[in-house]
Amino acid sequence: MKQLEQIMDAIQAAEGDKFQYDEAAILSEYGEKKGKNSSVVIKVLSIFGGLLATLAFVVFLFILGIYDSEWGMLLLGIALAAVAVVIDRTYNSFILDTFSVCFYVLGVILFAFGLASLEVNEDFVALLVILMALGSLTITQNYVISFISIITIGAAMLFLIMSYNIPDAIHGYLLLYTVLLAFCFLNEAKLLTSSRKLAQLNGPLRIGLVFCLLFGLVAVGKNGLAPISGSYLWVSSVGSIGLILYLADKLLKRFGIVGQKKVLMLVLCVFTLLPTLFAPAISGALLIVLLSFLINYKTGFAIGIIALIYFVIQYYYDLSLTLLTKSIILFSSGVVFLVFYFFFTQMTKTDEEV
Amino acid sequence: MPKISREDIQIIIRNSNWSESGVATFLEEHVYSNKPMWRKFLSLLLLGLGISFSTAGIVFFFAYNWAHLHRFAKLGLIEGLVVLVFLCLFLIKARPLVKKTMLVGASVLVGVLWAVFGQVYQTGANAYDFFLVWTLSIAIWSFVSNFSPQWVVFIALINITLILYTEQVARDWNGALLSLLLFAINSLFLLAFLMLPRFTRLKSRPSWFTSLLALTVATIGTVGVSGGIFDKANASFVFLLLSTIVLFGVGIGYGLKTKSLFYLSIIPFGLIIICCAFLLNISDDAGMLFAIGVFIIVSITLLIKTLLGLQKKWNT
Repeated sequence: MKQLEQIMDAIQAAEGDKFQYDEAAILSEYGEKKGKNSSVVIKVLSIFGGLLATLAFVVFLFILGIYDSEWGMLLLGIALAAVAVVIDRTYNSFILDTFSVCFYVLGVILFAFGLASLEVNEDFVALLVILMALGSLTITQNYVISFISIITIGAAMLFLIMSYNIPDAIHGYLLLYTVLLAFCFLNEAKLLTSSRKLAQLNGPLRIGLVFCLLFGLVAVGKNGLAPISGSYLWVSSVGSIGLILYLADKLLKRFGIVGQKKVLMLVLCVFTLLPTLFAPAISGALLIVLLSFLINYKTGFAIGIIALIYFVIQYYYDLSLTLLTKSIILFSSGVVFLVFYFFFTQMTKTDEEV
Repeated sequence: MPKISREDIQIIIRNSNWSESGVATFLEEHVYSNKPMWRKFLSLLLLGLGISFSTAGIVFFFAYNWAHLHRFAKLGLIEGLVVLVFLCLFLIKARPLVKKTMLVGASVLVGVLWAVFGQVYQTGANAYDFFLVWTLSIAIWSFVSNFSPQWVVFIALINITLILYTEQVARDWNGALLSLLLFAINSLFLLAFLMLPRFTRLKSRPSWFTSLLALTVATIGTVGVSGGIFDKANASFVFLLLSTIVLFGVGIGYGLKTKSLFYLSIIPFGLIIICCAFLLNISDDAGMLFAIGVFIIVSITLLIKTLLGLQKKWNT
């Protein structure tokens, strides 16, 4: 509680006299939150547990033969998803998360299968699934259900792109999610202060957008997964490279590096990023890493680093060059990075001395 | 200024007229990464990229089929490189972090050396003995440098050697025996890394490293026991089951003592999966699958409830 007082004093000092707050409400919510505040570990636990239970129930329904009854599947699906959303609206507790995840995922799966076996057009099924996820997103306040809805929307959009057979639209998808992700990460204060609903969504939106972007990046990053033509690859990269440069500019400004030094640094950044112009997966993963580090978001940072390592390996693996050429490219980029490293440590050392 | 989480900020925003620009400045000053953090991150990123790209370049260089190069030249080149890196470690003035990272690179080069050796003398590059000599060659380096990424390489190599040995030589071993050996080796490393810093002057390992190792141990135990349930019972399975129970118990005790939600989540989750395998082994009809689904939901819910309770107790 003493910590809270210190924080409130600091805010008061920065905001001035116009700052007003309901101390009793803050204190009571703060006390209530203690122990309710669920960590990443618990969220992961409830998602994995929920998915495992969903698997058991899917097999159970399969043995029972529900797949013979299209309307049965459809109605059960809608009912389960509705129960999940209603339960978490009434109880709003992390404890029931596993339950909600299981019912919600099972509901969406049965809904989609039911429609598909009623011979509804698959594009229409995907659209309805997107609508269902959007609907739950507006109703629910639950972290994990919001997260699952967000990634369901992303996955259904990718499905639509594949089903319409316009693989190059993935670049549009990537551009959209890159911009959305950057917007969310860079305008956290705006999201938090706008409305209660959006503030609640901030957490699931962050992790959900990271995953949606990753889905798209995997589709372009792994050769042969989506039949995209190589000539538009740069469209996806331009977004992430541009945003990385914007971040670099913002940081240099924040750390007081100006004039010629700043221009030199930005030019170096451009030259380092240029080789990734035709490897959007690498520049995209790098953007996730940098954005997450900027706002000190550890989960996103860890996911980004793993993705970056994977995409770099996948890129060189798929590259149709002789091993000798690959070796020369890799070795020279390694040396360039090491030169940057010594340059960077020298430069920051002189900074410290000044 | 005490540490403040995003949830705390949200609570304050909900109950005050805190302005957007005020929140933005506050986040930047108290939550986001500051200048020293960026400096550390960028230097680690550049160093990591530099060493891994140049090592990968060297690996690809020797993977290229140098038909006209004499075998002594090939082997000599790599040995020369390893010696060069080694001399650099003694002669240049650099931070220990740089030197230890270079040693990890050298450890990979030793692997390249043995791979080329296998290629030249036709010993077969993926035979277990290749990984065995590689592991042995970098063992002393791992102990001397005592650097987490170096340990990751070393422990991964031990596991690969053992798995390949069962596949290529000891074909009569059953699955449970392999799981038992893997479980024992990784557990011993984990116990050593967690316990030694308490009794000796060794520095404690970073938590990402011990967590990774603990996750490996829990996965091997869970997968080994769950798989073994479906096989015919044998002595190694009984040993595996007993050691998993004992070690999981120790792990839960350790988690309670160090107030680590990580240990208290992965171990019970493993136990729940083992119970499911046990139930599935009894019967796999519709009724049992329904029961398993209910069991998972109830047990995970209870687990989360317990963990939240513990967290509340620790925080006050």
